[in-house]
Amino acid sequence: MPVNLNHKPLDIKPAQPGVIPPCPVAIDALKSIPRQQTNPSRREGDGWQAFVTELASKGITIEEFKSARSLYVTDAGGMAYGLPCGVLIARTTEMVAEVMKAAQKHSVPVTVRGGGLTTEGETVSFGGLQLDMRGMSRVLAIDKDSLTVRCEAGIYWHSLAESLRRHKLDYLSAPLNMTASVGGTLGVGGIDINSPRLGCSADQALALKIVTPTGEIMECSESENTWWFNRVLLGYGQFGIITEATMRIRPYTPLTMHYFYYGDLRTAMEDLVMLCDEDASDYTGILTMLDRAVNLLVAFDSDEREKAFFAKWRSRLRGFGELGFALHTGLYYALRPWKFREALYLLDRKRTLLPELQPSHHMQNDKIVDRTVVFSQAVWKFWGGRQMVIPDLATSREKFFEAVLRGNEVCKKYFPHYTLYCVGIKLIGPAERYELSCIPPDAEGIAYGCEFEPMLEGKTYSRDHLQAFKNEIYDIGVDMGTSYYRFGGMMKGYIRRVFGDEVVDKHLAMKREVDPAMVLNRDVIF
Amino acid sequence: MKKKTPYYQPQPGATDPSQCNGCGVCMLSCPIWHQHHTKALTYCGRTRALIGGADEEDLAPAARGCILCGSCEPLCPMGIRTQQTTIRLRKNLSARGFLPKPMTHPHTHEAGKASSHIVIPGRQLRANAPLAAAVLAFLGQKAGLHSDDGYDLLLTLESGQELNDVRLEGYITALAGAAEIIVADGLLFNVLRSLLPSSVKVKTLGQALLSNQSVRAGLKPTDLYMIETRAYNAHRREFVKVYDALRQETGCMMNLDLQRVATPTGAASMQHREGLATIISIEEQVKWLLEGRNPERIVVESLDDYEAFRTHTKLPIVHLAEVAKP
Repeated sequence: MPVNLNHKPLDIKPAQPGVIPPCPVAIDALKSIPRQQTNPSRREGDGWQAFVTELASKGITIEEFKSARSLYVTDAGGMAYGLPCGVLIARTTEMVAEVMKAAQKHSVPVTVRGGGLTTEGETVSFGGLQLDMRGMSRVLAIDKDSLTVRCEAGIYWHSLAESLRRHKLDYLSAPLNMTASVGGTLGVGGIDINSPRLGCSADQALALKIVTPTGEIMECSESENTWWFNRVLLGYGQFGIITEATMRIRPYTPLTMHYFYYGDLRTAMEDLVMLCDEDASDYTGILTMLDRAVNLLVAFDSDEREKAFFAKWRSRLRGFGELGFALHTGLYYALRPWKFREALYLLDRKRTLLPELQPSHHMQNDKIVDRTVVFSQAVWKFWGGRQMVIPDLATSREKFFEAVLRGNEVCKKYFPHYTLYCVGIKLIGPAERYELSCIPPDAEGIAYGCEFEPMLEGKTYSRDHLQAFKNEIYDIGVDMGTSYYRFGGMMKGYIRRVFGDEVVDKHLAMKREVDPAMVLNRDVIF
Repeated sequence: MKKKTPYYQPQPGATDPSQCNGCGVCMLSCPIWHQHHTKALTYCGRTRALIGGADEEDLAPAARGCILCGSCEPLCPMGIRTQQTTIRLRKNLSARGFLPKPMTHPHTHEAGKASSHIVIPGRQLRANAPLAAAVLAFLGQKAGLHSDDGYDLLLTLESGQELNDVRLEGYITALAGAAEIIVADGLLFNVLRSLLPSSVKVKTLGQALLSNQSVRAGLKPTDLYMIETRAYNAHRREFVKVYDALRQETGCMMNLDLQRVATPTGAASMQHREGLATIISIEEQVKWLLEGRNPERIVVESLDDYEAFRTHTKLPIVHLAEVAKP
C-alpha cells in the first residue's frame, strides 16, 4: 500500500471530552518562530457525519460544498489559513442552541465568526463547523426614551448605525471599522477614539441573550445571570455565543475634529495622557506617520466642549496646527537635505491621506458627519491588504510610554513605514469582567493600547518576517507584563506567559465546566 | 468610435479581483446583503470564494442573483471594478451554459425627430406620452426623443451574452454626431459615457432636469428623492457632489446611505423588467428605503422606481419632471 508522505500523522492522541491534548507547537516556542495553529485535534472529524445528520433531522442544513467553505479560509489578517468541514449561517438563537447541543454530543468544534476581523486566525476554522453569525443582523427594537437598542449580534456596527441614524440616534462607541460585528466586538472589548470617556464597546452592553457551550439559551445582564454576563463580555467566545444584545445609544451628533502635529512621539503621548486624565475632549487618539510626524486627534460632540477645550487645554498641548507643523518640518528637512526621501513621503501622505479624512460629502458646516465611514474607508484604503499585521500592546498608564517607545523601535527594524495607533480605554466595568482579557491586570481607572501597524505598501514580505515582527512586539508584553488586544489564535502562547498559570488555569477550569467537550472556539485561548 | 475601454470591460489600471482583501466594505451597501445576510450571494462572497478555491460554476446562483445596481462599485478600497467583473463572470458562465439565455428583444425604431440634443427615454417614458412631453418641455426646443432605446443591447449586456458588435457600433454611430445626449436608463448612460467621444455630452435624465431651477425649487424637505442608482453609483465621485449640493439646497431626503451610495429599489434590474426569478424583494427594498424617514412624497428620476413605490406604498409619487414650480 503506497504511503502518502504528505499526510504523515503526528504522534498526538485524539482529544477526549474535557481533555486538552498537547499542542504540537510549544507555548514557549523560540522567538521569531511562527506559531501557527497546527493542532490536529481541531480537524477531528469522527463525529462530523453524525453531527450533520442530527442537525438535518432538526431542519438545520450544514453547507458542505467547497464554494461555501472556501469563503472562510482566512480572516482579515490573511496569515492563518484553515478550512471548516461545513458552514452554517445562524438565523435564530434556537438554531444556535441546537448546534451547540449537537456539537457537545459529537465533539465537533464550532468556530464562531462575525466580521472575521481577527488577525491571528482566531475566527479561522481548522475543521469542524464555521458558524457565521451575520445571518442574525436585525435591529429588533429602538427605544428612544430610554436610549437603548436591542439587536441581533451578527449585525455590523455600520448596519446598526444606518438604522439608528434614521431616528437621529447613534451608538456610543465601536471600532473604527465598519465591518466589525456587534457580537464579535462585545466578545473582545472594542476600542474607539471615544473609549477614554466611554470605555470599551463591551461596557455599553446592558443585557445579552446568549447560547451557552452546551446549548442553553440564557438572558444575562448586570442583575441577571451576572456570572455569565461578565464571562461572555470580553470572554473571547469561550463561554457562550452572543445572539442578541441590548446596548446604550445616544442622540446623533456630528463631530468637530482637530488635528495637532508633533515632531516627537513621547511628547504626543504625554499630551494624550493629559487629555485622557483630565477628560478634556470627547474623542482623542494618536496616529503616527513617522517619528517626526505624529498626529494627535481631538474631537468634540458639542460646541460647548470644544470651547472649553480651547479655553483650558489647547494652550497646554505642545503640538502644532497644520501650518505651524508645515513650517517647523520644512525647516527641519531644509537643514537635513539627506533626509529628502522622508520629506517626500510626508508630503505624499499629506496629499493622499489627509483629504480622505475630510471628504466634502461627509462634512457639514466644518463638522464630520460619518466618522466611522470616513476612517474605515481610509483604514482599508491605506492600511488594508491581503495581509494585515497589527500586533499591539495594552498597558497600564505607568507602562504606556516605555511599551510604545520599545514597540516603535521594533517597527523601525522591520518596516520603512508604519503607523502607531494609541488610545486610552476608561475602565468602567467590574474588575471580574476584565480578568484574562485585553485589559491589563495592573491598570487602574484607565488602560492604554497601542497598535503597531506596518504599511506593507504592496511589497511582499515572507510569513517569517511578519511573524517575527509580531513576536518581537508580543515579547515586549511578556517582558513588561502588559496585555494584548489581539488575544489568542496564533499568539495564544503569550497568554499563559503574560498572565501566569494561576489565572489561566482558573479560567480553563471554568471553561471545562461550561464546555465539557471543549468545542466552542476551540484552541483560540486555551 | 472613442478609443476607450467600454464600461462593461475590465478597465485599464483596475485592480485584479484576486487582490480582494475581503474587507467586506462593498457588502455594506449591497441590497442583496441587506435582505439575505448571506455573504456567498454578494460580490465580496463570489470573489472570496474564487480566491478560496471555489469553481466559477459554483457561483452561478450568486451571479444570476446580482441586480447590477452598482452599490458595491464605488466602495472597493483596492480599486476593483466590481460591475465589470460581475458582467465578465456572467459571460463566462453563460458561455458554458450555467446561465440561461435571455429572452430576445429585437430592437425597434420608432418615429423620432432628428436633433442635436437627443433624449433616450427608455420604454416606460416613451409609453407615457404626457410625461415624455413634459420632459421635452423642460429640456428646450432643441431636444428630441431618440427612436432607439437600445433595450436589446442592455438585456444582452446584463444577461452576460456577447454583444453584437455590428449592432452596437451602429447604435453608437447614430449618436456620435449629437451635441448632448440625455439618457433615462442608468446602465445605458454608463455604456454611452464610455463609448461616445468626449465631444458628446452624455447626461442622466435627473442631471438634465435638475439643471432647471424651477425643478429644483419644486423639491421639499419632506420629499424622498430617489436617485437613479446605476448611473450614480458608477460615477459616484462626480455625482456625490451634485446631489449633496441639492440636498443642502432643498433639504430633501435621498436614497443615499451613510457611505453615500444610492440604494436601489431593484426594479430596474433585468430580473424584474423581464419577470425572471429574483432573490430581491422590491417590497422589502421599499420598506427599507422608507424606514424611519416618513416622507410625504416620493420623487423619482426613474419610472422603474415609480412603479416600485406605486405598488408598495400609498404615498404620492411624482416624476422629477412633474415637481417644477411655475
